[in-house]
Amino acid sequence: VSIDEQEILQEFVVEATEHLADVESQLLAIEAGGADVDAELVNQVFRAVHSVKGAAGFLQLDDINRLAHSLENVLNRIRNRELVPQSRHTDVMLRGADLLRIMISRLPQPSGVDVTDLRTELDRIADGAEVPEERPTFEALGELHAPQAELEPPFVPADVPPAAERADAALRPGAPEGAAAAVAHDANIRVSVAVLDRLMNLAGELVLSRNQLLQAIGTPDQSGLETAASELDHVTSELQEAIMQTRMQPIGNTLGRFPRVVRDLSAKLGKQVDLQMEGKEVEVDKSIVEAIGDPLTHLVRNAVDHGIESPAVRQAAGKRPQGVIRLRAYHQAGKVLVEITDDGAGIDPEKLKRKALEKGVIAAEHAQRLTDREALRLIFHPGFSTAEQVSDVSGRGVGMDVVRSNIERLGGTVDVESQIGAGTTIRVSLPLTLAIIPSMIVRCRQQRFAIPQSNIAELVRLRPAEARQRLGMVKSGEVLRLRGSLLPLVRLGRVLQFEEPATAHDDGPVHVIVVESGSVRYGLLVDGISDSEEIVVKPLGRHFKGCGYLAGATILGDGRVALILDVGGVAARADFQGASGDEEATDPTTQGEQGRTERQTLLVFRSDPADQFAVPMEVVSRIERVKADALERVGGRELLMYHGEPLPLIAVEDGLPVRPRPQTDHVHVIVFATSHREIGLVAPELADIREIEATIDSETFRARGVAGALAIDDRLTRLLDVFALAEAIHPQWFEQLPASPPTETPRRILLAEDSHFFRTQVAGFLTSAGFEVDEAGDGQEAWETLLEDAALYCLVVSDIEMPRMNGYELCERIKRHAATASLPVIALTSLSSDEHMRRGREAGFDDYQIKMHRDNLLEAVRRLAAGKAAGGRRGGQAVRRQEASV
Amino acid sequence: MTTMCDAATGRQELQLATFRAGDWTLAIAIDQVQEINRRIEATFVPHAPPSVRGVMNLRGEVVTVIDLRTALGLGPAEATRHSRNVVVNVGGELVGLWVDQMGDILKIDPSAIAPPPPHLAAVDRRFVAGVYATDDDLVLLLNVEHAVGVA
Repeated sequence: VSIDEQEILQEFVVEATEHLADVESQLLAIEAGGADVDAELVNQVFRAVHSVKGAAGFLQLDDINRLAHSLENVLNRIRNRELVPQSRHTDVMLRGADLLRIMISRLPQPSGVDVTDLRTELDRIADGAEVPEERPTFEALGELHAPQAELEPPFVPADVPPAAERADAALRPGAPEGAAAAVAHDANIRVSVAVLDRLMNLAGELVLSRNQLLQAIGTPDQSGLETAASELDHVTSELQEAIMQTRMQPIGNTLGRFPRVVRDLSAKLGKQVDLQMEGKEVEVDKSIVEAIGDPLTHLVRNAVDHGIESPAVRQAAGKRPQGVIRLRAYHQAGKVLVEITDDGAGIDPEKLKRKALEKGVIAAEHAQRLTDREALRLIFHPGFSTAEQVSDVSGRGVGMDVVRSNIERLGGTVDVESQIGAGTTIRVSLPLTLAIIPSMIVRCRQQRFAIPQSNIAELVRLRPAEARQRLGMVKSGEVLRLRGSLLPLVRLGRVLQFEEPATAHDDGPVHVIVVESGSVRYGLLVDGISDSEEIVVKPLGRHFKGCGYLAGATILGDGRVALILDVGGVAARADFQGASGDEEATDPTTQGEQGRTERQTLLVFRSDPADQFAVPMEVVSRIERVKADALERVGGRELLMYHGEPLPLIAVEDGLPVRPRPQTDHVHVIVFATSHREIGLVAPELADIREIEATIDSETFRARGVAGALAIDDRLTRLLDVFALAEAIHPQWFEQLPASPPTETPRRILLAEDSHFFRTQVAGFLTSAGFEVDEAGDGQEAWETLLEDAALYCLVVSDIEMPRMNGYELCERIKRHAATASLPVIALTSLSSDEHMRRGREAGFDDYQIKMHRDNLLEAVRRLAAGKAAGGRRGGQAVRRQEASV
Repeated sequence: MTTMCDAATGRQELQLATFRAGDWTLAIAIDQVQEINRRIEATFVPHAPPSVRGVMNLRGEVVTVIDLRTALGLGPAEATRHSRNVVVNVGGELVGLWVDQMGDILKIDPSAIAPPPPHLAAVDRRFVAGVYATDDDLVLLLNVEHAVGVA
C-alpha cells in the first residue's frame, strides 16, 4: 500500500467512523417512533450509510460496500413508509452497523468477518420476504442475540496497540485494555477553529513576552524585568488553559452507547426500561471520556440487571411496569459528577451486612457498628456481588470494586445512595482533567517522589521516642499503631532497594504517609515530606514497563524529574497484602471504652446536604456571613478579603473525602485562631448551635481533621478538629511552630481526663508537639501516679469533671503537697463560665484552657513547661503565690 | 536512514555522527540524532534495567538516558568532561545515549559499509549494523534499536 493510499484509507476510516457514530442512537430513536416514522431521522441514517457505501466502493472495500448497500435498501423501505421497523428489524440493522464499524476499525487489515449471512437477512427484510413475525418469546430473543455474541470478540481487535503504549495510559498502568481498544482513530482530536485561533493569538503573545524579557535582561539595570515576567506568567497560564480546552470533549461521546446497552439488556432480561440522559454536552478531558466508558457501562448494566425489577414485580409493588434509569452529568465545583439513578428495588443494607458477614468480608462486631450508608458502601468491597445468583450479565468477574478502583485511578470517587423500594443512585465524581494532579512531594534518601493527593489519607509525623512506641512488628511485617489500629507499614527506601541511610534513623522525626488505593491501605515510611505541588504527568519510556510501582514522571519546579509513585504498585513490590480499611487489626493495647458522654456546645453546619459537621463552639472566634463571590481563589487557595486583610480559608472538602459544597449565594465563614493567624472554615449552611451530651465515637471516622463522630437529631455528624484539618490541608501554615528546644528535664506531661475521646485527642496534640504523655482516667489515678514519682513530670493537664476525684480537688492537692507544689497545672475543660473560672483560680490552676483549642492549649503547655524547666525560681514563686491564695 | 545524493558526482552520501564508548568508535546516521548535550544530571529509577542511567527533563519531555557502555556490555561509563548525551529518536521515543566522547561527522558512501566481521567479539554482533573502515580506525555502525533494547 503506497503512502498516498494509506492516507486516503486513513481519511476514510476517520470519516466513516464519524458517519456511523450516531447511527446506533438514530436507529433506536426510529424504532421508538414506531409507525410514526420521522422521515428526517431516517434520511440522516440513510445518508450516513450511503456515504460509507460510496467511499468503500471507490476504495474497493467490497465487503463494506455490499453490507452498506444492503443496509441502505432496508432504510430506503422505511423511508418510503413501506416498512414499519419492529424490534427484530432494528436488531438486524444494529448488527449491520456494528459490523460496518468493526470492519472499518480494522482497516487496512481485512476484517475476516463474513457478511453473507447478515446481508441475506437484510436483503430479506428489504424484499419484504421475511418470515411472518412470531411472538418474541424469551428464548427467541435469546437466539436473536446469539449471533451477536459471536461477534463480540472483534470488539477488541488484537492489532490495536496495548494500553501501556499509549501516552495517556501511562498514568494508569493497570487500566483495562477495553478503553484503549475503543476506536482506532482516537489518536486524532477535533479542535474548533475558534480555539485554534485563540492558541495562535496566545502563541503570538508568548513571542512578544519573550522579546520583552530578552530586552529587559539586556538593559543595564534590568528595568522592566518584572513587567515582562508577569506578562509571561499571564500568557503561560492562558496558553495552558487554552491547550487544555482542546482536550475537552463532551461526555456524550461515551454516554452515547448506553441506549443500546439498556435496550439490548432489558430485552434480554424481559424488563422494561426507559433511559433518560441529561448533560451529554458536559465537557471533560479526552482521556477521561475514554477511560470512564467501561466503569459507567458496568454501572448502567448493574442498574438494569439488579436495580430495575421485572414488570410483574414492579406492578405488584404499585409501580409503573416500565422502570426509569436516569443518567445525569453535570459540573460541580471543578469536578464532573455523573449520577446513575434507577427507580428500582433499592439495596437493603441489612442484606448487605449479612452477605458481608457470610463472605467474611467484615467481622460481626464491625457489622453492628456500620451505619446504613457505610453498609451500602460494602458493594465496593472486593469480592462482593449482590446478585442472588450469578447472571451472565453482571457475573463477569468485574465487580463494583473494580469499578471503584478504576474510577479512583482516574482521581475520582464513587458513592452510593439507596432507599429500599425506591431505587438507587450511584454518584461518580471525576476530575476535569487527568493531566494535572495535586500531589505531595516526598523525599527518600536524596531523591524526590510524587504521590497523588487522591491516594493520601493522612500524614503522620512521629517523634523518635514516639516512633519506638508506635512502630512494631507483627508476624514478619512492620506495622504502625494508629488510633488503636495496626496499619501495615512499608519503608519506601526498602521497596526501592536504596541503601540504608548511613546515619542512625532514630535521631529525627519519622514521616509516615497513610495511603489508600482501591482496597489497599498502608503506611508508607519516607525520609521527609517536601511540599504539595500540582504536577503535570509525563509518560515514562518503554524501558520502565517492569516498574509497576511507578505511575509516570513529572518535572518539578527546579527542572528535575521526579517519579510518581503508584500506591498499589508499591504495595505489590513490597509483597504484602495491605489490609483494607475494614479489616484493619485492632491494637489490643488500646482497646476498651470507645466513647464517653461529654457535654459540649457545638456549632453544627452542613456542606453538601448529606454531610453534617460540628465544631466545638469554644474554638470559634466569630462567624461571618459573606457573599459567595467574595471568596477569591489565589494560587489554588481560597481566601476572603476581610477588613483589608486576607483571611485564608479552608473547606471540609479540601481535607476530607466529602462531596464539594453546593453553589450558594452566601456562605458562612467560621473564623478560628491558631497561635499565628486566623483561619476561616467555609460552612455553606449553618444548622444549629447545640449544647449536647452525646457519645462521641472516635474510631469509625478516622481521618485527619475529624475528631470523632456523633449523632445529632439522628444524623451522623462529624466533629471536626479544625486545627488538624487546617494542618492537613495547608501543612506549611504550621511549619513555623517553634521546635521544642532540647532539654534535659523530662518533658513528660501527666494528663488526667475521664473521657477516652478527649484523652486521646489531647494526648495526640501533646505528643505531636514533642511531649511524652502519661494518661490517667480520673483525678484519683492521676494523684496516685504523682505520688509514685512526681519528679517525672513537668506539667499536669487536668479535666475538671471527673469521677472519684475532680479537677479542682486534684489541683488543690497538688498545690498543697510539698513534692508536687511546684508543678504547674492546666485546667482543661469545655466549661467556660465565669463561675468555673473563679473556682479554678481558687483551686490554684496556673492556666485554664479549652479542650479542643489545640493551639492555645499547646502555647500554654509550652509556656508553663518551659518555666518549669528553667529552674525552681519561677516555680517557687508560683508556689508561694498559690500558698497565699489557698 | 536516508542517504543524500551528491549532485556533482551523482554518488550517494551518508552522514554519520561518531562517538566513543569504551575502546570503540561507534556511529549512527546523523538524521537519527535529535540533539547532543552535556547534561549529566539524571533521576535514578530503581528497578529499571541496568543499562538505564535514569530519566532527564528535555524541555518538558521525560527522556530515558541509556548508559551505552553498559548496554553494549563494556562496563559502566564514568562521567567526565567529555561525556555527552546523544539524544536519538528510536521508534518515536526520544532516548539519550550516554557516550564517553563525541567524534567527527563522517560523510561516506553507503556502499563502503561492510557487514560486521565474524571476529568482532568485544561487542555483541546484534548491536552492529555494519562496519566502516577509515584510514586509522574501524567505525561500528550502531543498530540503535537493538542497543537500547527496544527492538
